Amino acid sequence: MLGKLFKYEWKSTCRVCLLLLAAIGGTTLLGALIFQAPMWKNILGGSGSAGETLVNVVSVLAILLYILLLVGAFYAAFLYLMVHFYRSTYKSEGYLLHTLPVQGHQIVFSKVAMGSIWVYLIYIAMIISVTVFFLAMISAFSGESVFWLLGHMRDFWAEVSKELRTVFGELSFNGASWMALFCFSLILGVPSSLLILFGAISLGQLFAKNRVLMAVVCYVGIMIARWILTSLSRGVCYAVAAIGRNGDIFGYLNSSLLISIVIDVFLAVGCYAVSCHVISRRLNLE
Amino acid sequence: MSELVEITGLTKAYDANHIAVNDITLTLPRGRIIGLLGPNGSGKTTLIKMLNGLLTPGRGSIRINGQPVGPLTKAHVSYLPDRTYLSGNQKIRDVLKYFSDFYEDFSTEKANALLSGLNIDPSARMRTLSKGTKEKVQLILVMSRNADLYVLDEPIAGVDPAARDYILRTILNNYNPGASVLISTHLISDIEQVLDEVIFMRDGRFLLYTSADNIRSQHGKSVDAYFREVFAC
Repeated sequence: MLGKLFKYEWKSTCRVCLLLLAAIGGTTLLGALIFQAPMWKNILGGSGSAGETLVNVVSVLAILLYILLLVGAFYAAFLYLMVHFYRSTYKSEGYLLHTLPVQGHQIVFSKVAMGSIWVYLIYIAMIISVTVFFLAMISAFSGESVFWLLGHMRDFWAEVSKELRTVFGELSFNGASWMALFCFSLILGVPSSLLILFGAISLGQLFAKNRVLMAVVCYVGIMIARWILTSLSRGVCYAVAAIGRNGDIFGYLNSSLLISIVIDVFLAVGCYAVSCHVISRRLNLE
Repeated sequence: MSELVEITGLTKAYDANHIAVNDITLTLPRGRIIGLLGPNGSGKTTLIKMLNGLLTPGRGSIRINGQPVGPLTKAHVSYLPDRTYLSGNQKIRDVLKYFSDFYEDFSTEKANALLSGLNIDPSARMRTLSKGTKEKVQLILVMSRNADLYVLDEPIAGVDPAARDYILRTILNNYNPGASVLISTHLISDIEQVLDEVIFMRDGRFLLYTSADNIRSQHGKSVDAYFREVFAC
């Protein structure tokens, strides 16, 4: 049954999420075209005219629009997945979902898993988009073609890695392990954020009235609790680093990141349990 | 074999002042068409939603085929809610596939035959259908299952008389004879000819559970007339 839930969850979220990916594609095109504007020739050539001011302003606005669209698409994905969860689980469509012969935890798991896959795809699309954006920018400044730059990206990354290793080596900082931990926290952050959103929506269902409002209150409450826990634990880490290890700032960075991950896992597991419990044992569809 | 449905001390309160279902105990046999009758707010829909696991009882228990309400009972209960629960973006064909994927007892052939009989295009999207056609599609989905219990909440409310006849015919011609059908409605005159048994509900309690023939013979009235007498304002 879990496989079938995956299939139908994927299909039901497909249309909007593909639209978001297409929007990112369009935004990428916009970002790449920005650097074909006359503004860049003016900057590079050191010449310009008052008549081109409007074009320059438009170009700057286009860069801002690019950033806004990209960030907007990312948050729109979360917003959509949250609304989709609410509507398909606790509104009219829930009448079908909750009369299927499936377990509550399978429902939550399928929604989190499929939602996470979409967000990962959006992450990848954003990384590609930003890469294209920067390549177009470097191309405009350097005069080299984008394809030439693409061919030399490997050399560029090798150079950057070498520089970073040198810097980290001088600072006695294990940058690779911190980077790995940071990437892991980003990957984990997707299902964890979805689980917290879904958990808050599910907690809202425990109230007789104003369930959406109560879901928002629960979400704010969870985020405040998360902030307090993270701040306290970071404070402890900092104190340990400052007192016990003679100001080992990198030890502090590692341990504070690790603690953030642990807190996120703790909250995600808690919210998963709450959603499963509400769906399996406390369901009260309006 | 045990009774199909066993309800014991079932209570559901939405808040301290509103007890929707109040300490109901009842068993429903197999092979019967049972009318769940009562005025608005009598607790019919609340009871039905608890039978389907959409509401959690405050107290008491429900067992269907000896099992508490859960995935095992949902595999054998076919439920028609009093609202449209299918997404407007879905095509009817996709919904049929959905039902056949999740319910082992769903017959796609039967559903297609019923759709074809009504000239409903399976490639139509739900949002393009009229209210009456949506209700017919949902009924076809429900009645294309070979379930042990069919629970139909207001299946004929809000549709024209011709559609009501069609719906009642569909119910009679398509339910599994070994199963029971629980029909909630307050349009009694339209359905009383198909009922074997009736339950009267008021203020969350059962007033009466007897056979339709018993009402006619003991009170010399139709179920509809007797209902009007009992629930006279």
